This record gives sequence, C-alpha cells and structure tokens, in this order.
Amino acid sequence: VSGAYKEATVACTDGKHKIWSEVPDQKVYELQVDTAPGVGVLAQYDHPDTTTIEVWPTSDLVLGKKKVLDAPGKTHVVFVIISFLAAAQVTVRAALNGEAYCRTVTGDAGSQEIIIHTMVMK
Amino acid sequence: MSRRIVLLLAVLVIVPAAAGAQDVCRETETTEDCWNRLDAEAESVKQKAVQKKTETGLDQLAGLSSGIKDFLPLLNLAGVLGPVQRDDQSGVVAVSLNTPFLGGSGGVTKDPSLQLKALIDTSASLFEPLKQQLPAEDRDALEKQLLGDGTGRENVTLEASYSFLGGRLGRNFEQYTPLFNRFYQSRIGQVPSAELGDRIRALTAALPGGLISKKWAELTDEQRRRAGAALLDVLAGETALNGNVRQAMRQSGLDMFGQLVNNQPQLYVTVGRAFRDELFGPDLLRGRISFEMGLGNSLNRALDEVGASSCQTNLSACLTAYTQFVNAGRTRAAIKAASRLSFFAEFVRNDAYHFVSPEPALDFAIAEGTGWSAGLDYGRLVGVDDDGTAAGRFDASVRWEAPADKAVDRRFVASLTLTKKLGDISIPFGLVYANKEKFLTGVDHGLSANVGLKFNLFPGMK
Repeated sequence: VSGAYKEATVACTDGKHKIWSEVPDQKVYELQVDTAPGVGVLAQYDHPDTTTIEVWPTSDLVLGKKKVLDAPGKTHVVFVIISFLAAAQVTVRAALNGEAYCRTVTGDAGSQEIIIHTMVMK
Repeated sequence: MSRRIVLLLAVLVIVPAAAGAQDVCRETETTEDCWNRLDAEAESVKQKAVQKKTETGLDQLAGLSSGIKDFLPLLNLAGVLGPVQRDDQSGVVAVSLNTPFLGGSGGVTKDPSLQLKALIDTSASLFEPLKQQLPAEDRDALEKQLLGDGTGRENVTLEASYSFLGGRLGRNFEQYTPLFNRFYQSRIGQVPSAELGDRIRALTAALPGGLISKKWAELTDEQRRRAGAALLDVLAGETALNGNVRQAMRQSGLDMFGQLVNNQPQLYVTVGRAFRDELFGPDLLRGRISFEMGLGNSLNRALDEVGASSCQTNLSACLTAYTQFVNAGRTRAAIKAASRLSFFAEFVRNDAYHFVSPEPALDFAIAEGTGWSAGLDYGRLVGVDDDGTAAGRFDASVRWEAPADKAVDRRFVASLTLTKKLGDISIPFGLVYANKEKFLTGVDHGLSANVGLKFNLFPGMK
C-alpha cells in the first residue's frame, strides 16, 4: 500500500463523494480496498474521452489500482460499488495529487453503497 | 414502495419546493460537502421509510428448539484467542483458541477450522451418583464436608473441535469468494454508470476553474443556480444507479448467494478429555460428530444444477444457470423455509471409578464403560412472507441414548413441535413420544404412558 494513502487505525470517516479539483495532467490516482468475505466490490472507471466503462475487479482493488490521469480540463469519474451479503466492514482508500481519501463502510446483509470519486483536471 | 421512489421523495423533502436550485447548498459548504450532506439526509429518510424486517426468532424458545445450531459462532470469535467466557449458571469458565488448520485439499484452510478449548468447572459440585449415596437427611452437610474448601481439586475438560472445510463443506464465506467475485464482476460490472458520469461532468462544467472546491458563499447567483440544478440531477442519477445495482443483484440472484452459503453442509467433530478429582466423578473421554445441511437451498445444490465445471470454462453460461436456479419457485420457497436437517452421534467413555471415604462412610465404584447417544433434528419456518417474516416454525426431533451402565434403560424420545407466532408472543404446540413412561418428562398433558402434549407457554405457571 502506497504511503500516499491515509493511515487508518480507526474507521475512516470521509464522505461517499470526493472531488479532487485542479488536478495536473499525468497525476496518478490510486485506489485500494480492504474488503471482507461476504462483500462484493468492484470499481467502474469512466474516462471522459471514451464511451466504454473500465471495470476494476476486486482482486485489482485489493492489491491497489493505479491510473494515470490525462485529458486536461476534463473530468474522470470512478464508481466504487459495494454490495454486502453479510454484515461486514470495508475500507476504501484513495490518493491523488497529495490529497488522501479514506472511508470505512459498515454494512448489513443486503445493503450496498456506491462511492463516487470525481477528478477534475486542470 | 420501491427504494428508488423513497429516495426521490427524500430528495424532494430535503430540498423545499419553494427554494431555487441556487439554494440547494449552504453558504459554508463546498459542492462536495453539500453533495455528501444531501445524500446522507436522503439515506436517513430512506432508512426511516424501510421498516426493519426480522425472522421470528422462534428457535430461541427454551426447551423447544430443534437443536439445530450454526457451528460458525464457535469459530467466529473476534480473534484467534477468544475471550474468557464464564457461564454463571453452570460455573464453567471457557477459553478458546481458534486457528486455521489442514483442509480437505491438504493445505491450510483460509478460515479458522480448528478450535482448542479449555473448560474449567468452578462450581465444585459433588459427583451426583456419589451424592445420592449419602444419607438424604444429612446430604447437603456431608457434601460440604467432603468437598472441604475445594481448593486444588481438578475439574478441567480439554476439547479439540474441527470443522471440515472444503469445496462442498463449510459455511465460511472465504472459500466461495472467488466464484462470487467472478459473478459479481460479470453482472454488476455491466450495470451502466455512464449516464451518471455525464451528469457529474455537467456539474463540474458548471463550476469551472477550481470553483467546484470553493464554498457556496464565494459563488455568484448564476453559478449557484447552474451548479444546484446540476447537483440535483446528479443525485437523481445516483439514486437511479443504486436502484439499477440493486435490481441487477436481485434479478441475477446474487443477493441470495449469502443465503445459499449459509445453508451449506457442515461436518464438525469434537473430541474432549475431562480430568476430574474423584469428588467430581471419573475422568471422561468424549467424542461427537455433527452434520447439518440445508434442504434444496444450499450453494452445493445450485452448483450441482449449474454444473460447477462449466463455471471455469463459461462463466456467462454458469451465471445464467445459477440465476435460473435461484429464481426458480421451488428454490425461492426452500430458501424462505430455511429448512435444515442435522444429525449427531456422541460417545462418552468413563474410566473405572472407585471412591472410598471413612467419614462419611462411602465405598462407591463405577466400572469402565461407554455410553452412546444420537439425535436427528429437522426444522423449517412456515408461512414466510416476502420480507422474510415467518408466522411460525416446525421442528421434529429424535433422541436415542444408551447409558454406559447396562443396567439402566435405554432412552428414546421423539417430538414434533409447531411454534406459532401471534403478535409478539410465540405459542408452542408439541407432541412427545418416549419409549418409557419415566422418560416422558416436561409434558403438559399425557395422552398415554408414552405420549404427551406440550402446549404451555409458561411451564412454571401451571
């Protein structure tokens, strides 16, 4: 796990929605998820210049996914979709341009959450 | 009311109709703060609107449960070493060590499958058959005399329990996670989010040049109006995406995956050795094997129908077959009924025992012997609503015991119990059969020497 992420010894409390603005071209967005058995989690990455959505599977997110952001003046969006089949806790960490994000999601069986990261390029 | 409608209503409630789009956010908020607040408020309204539904909990009724237990809690303690637990009623103090162990594949299991447990009986109660040898009129006093202050007297049981975890055994989710993740990626990865992405881009376009990170007090009325309208549009799109994910989970049957895992067969073996001071009885060797399975509602059943091998080669066909199985009427009914079948067999071997005391005068001996017992239980919910609320449950139970002392009668007891939930109370109605009249205990009305009825909700208030 990159040192850019927020160190979390307790539950992280950032909101479901995070906006990074004025991001310089070619900065690296990092996303990492600590998940648990009984939880479905994946991310959909929406690049501003393409019509297809890139799906990042659980295995990539657990290891830590990195994406170099291009397209100056445009907006990249990442949706982290979490579905709980059992009561569990998931921690989502991200970092971009020196600004870290950390959110711990606690869910019961049947609950879900979609975390949205918005990256506005300079 | 669908969740989507509830969320839309929530947004409408939170943002007063009279307010313009420029008033969506507070002066002190950034767009991100505002987005998070509106979403949290919508979530709060939604939670209040969705009444929590639970199962009946009827299986918790003392003395009437089917004996069907989920073994996982034994292994599911917070850490490797569980907390020291004390049962105030029995005086037994227990400490457990939970650890992964060798699994069916020969490797170490991912989840804890072995439990080592020490049970220390602190109750200092005289061995009951020995106690019965004491004169009834002075029994309590003589018991105290024999026990003394009780210090240094051993009464410890060491237990090792093993849960078989493998491709078709065990309810630890970890072993089924790879398959679930593939299903999840295949189905939920395809839920379209591009429209919401476009709405978010419209929001960021409404506040260019870093304005999106400014507080709303720093924005012009026109910027607020445009951003406010775009933000409401984003919230509506987010509600739609949540609804689409939920619908995809439901339609694909992935929302039932956890239920299917929870109904997987479990095979569990426990071996224990009791080391006891002679005042507490002979040393014991105990062994128990338990098996429990869901009926028509397990992941094994699903994979049997799907053809598990096809999941490796053709995930799409596998997921389609899985979905068909889960959504079939008979499967849904079996999941609702939550029917479980369990079986156990147990032996208890006592060492030869001989207790001699000059005062009080006692000479009591028990020969080495082995007692056997076995049981079969079936339980299911009845009258289950779509929201999972059950009107009652049905339990059937059979017990057979052959004591180590061959002079003692063998015991066979069978019971059928229907527990009906009426409002907040649960009323049990049971039929009990015993092979000997003396074993027909706890019934409220005897039909014959061997058959009785149980129906009293408050047995102590006859």
